[in-house]
Amino acid sequence: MDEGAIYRAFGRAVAQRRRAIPKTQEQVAREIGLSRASLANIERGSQKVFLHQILALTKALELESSHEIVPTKAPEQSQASREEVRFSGAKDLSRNQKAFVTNLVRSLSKSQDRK
Amino acid sequence: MTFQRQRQAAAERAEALLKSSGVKGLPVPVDSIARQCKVAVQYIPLDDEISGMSFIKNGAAVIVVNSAHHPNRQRFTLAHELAHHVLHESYLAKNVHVDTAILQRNEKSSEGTDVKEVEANTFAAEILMPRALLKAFGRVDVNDDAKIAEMARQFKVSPTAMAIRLENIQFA
Repeated sequence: MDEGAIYRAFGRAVAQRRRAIPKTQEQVAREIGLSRASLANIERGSQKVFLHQILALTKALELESSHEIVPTKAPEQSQASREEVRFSGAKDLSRNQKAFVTNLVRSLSKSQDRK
Repeated sequence: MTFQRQRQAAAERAEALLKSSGVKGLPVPVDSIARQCKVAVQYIPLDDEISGMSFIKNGAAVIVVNSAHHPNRQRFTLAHELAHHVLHESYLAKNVHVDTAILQRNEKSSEGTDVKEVEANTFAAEILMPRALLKAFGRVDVNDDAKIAEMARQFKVSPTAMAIRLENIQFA
């Protein structure tokens, strides 16, 4: 098992969540009682963390559960899946959204025709 | 899930398009690139869950971008939809393609992800943050918030998008 990969995956999850809220490294570090440099090391995966720090991070990152940042199994080699992904949404759309889209397509194709 | 080969091909199409458009400076003018591709771009406020959509009607290629979203996100949406027109034209001829957006968190949520979406995201990242232009910044510490923010400003993308792009390039 690649120990480093686990801490890098954890660090990435922490950093992504922190940027999404968003909070600075400074803010989060202060809340969990670490220096900014230590937090940066954790986010980089070059510093191991204790359980109480994981729980403090969960709180500081405004998460319900530490599961959202702790890898549940050893990460695979591939890094391919970390990317902004859009689903082809038609299957998830509500009835109203579908109706809106249908009308929009109709009206836009009419205006394209006139050109 | 890797789709490595498809991602590579999508990135190469984006690079070729950048080259033929003569793009040099920042931010990348994705709007005029779309126009060069003969795609009509409409900015219309849509339901918040919808980022944008693509379709071809009566031979005319159309992209709709949700103008209610942040300008950086609109640029990403436009680049993503342009990818569908460049890479998935035959599919669009039969379908109105609607994109909602989620930020992918973990392996699980990638199950069931359409290869078309993976290709479109790879293409969009390459268009907005071209590998060649990123190289000029040297090796960047992805944990350096200030540096990421400054680069995101220059490329006119979100800091999150920039951080993910740099991670994907540098740790590949």
